[in-house]
Amino acid sequence: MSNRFGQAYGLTTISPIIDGRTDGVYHAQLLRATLAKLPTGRHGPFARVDGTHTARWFVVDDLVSEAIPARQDHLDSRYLVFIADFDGPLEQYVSSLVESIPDVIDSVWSHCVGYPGSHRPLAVLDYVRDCQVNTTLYFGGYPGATVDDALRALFVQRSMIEFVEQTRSLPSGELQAAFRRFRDRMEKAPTPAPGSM
Amino acid sequence: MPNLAGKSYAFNAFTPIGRGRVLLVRLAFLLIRIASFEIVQKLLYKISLVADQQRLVDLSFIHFARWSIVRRRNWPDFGNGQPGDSPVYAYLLFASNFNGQWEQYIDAFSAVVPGGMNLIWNPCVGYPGAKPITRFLGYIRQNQFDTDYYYSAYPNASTTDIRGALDLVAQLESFAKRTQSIAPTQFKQEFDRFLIAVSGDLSTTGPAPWADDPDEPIMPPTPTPRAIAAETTHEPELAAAGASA
Repeated sequence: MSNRFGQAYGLTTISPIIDGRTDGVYHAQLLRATLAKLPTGRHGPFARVDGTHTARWFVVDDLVSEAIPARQDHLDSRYLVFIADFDGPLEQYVSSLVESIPDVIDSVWSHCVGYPGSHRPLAVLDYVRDCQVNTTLYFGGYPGATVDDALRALFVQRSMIEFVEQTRSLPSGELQAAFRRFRDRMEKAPTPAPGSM
Repeated sequence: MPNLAGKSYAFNAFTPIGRGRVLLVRLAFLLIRIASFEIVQKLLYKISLVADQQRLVDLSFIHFARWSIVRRRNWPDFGNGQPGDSPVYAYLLFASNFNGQWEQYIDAFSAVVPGGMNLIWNPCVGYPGAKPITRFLGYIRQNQFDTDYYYSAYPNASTTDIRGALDLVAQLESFAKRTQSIAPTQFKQEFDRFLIAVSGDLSTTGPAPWADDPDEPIMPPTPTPRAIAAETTHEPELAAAGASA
């Protein structure tokens, strides 16, 4: 039983959505509308939160009941599930969420019961822990690689393909010099922006 | 399509665990964890469960995947006048990030690691078994929850792209050190050998054919006959046909 796989941390939280309406609109409905408006890719809010590999939110309106002889199963509240894979630890990540995208997390979790607001960072960490469901089995496709490692490697891969195409017909001496310049350029290049590769 | 971020698909499913069977699910995960140890992989690779572990890794389309047991008491209750929930069943939450369309993903699971899937989901209510695939697909489809918002730090890269890129970086470092002070003619030979060694790592990233970003082309624009003709001017007949079209 572990929330960690290598350096990666798998966070799962389940938060009850406030029952009822504000200005005649259900909170779950407002929440879904808020999520639908969030930008994705390199303009997405999680691109500003260091170490985020993936993140998602989804709303559970009710449980699915299986066919008879299973018993009918229902929830009284709706729930917001948050799932993220990031370069741990949890405390640092929650702190990064609060510092980097306070307006976004407030606009989402403010529809949930018990959310204290980003102006109380320690209370947000307690809230996340209260809502957390531990991971029983966690699996990653590239253990040990941080977000920056993956982004830099993808950049080198793309650049290497270009380099090979451009230097295909160079004589030996020039090829060696070009390779040294290429290596130098790779070392000095900044890490690509999250969401851009 | 909020289930998609570029090439990556976010999959979520809650399946009810039969009453009194949570321990069986825990035991299944314990066995899977033991089977993943390197020493077990080396010594007991002929055992189906152990082989399934390696096959799962070899499938190479999963970025991250997790299973969590949501106990009846795990649904948080903060009071505030809102009643808490304690459903009839505990639930197995499966959440995954993978490349491709989900039917292909579930299909591959069913075909490649049916034993592992059965071990995990057998204690779940209504689970039909990993084979035949049609009933398994129906079960997964019924219990799937669509994602409302999804972000990936590398939406245009598949798991294979990332693994290849990481391997390329490691091999590039080693090649650079090895060839630091060799003569240019020898460097050329070594570079050609290096390229052959890393050829499998040189995949190109880019938007998926089913890309959801309206700013990104779903497919390269279809070339017009005139463009085709311009590219094939060494074939006069085709060029003439393209120009007249």
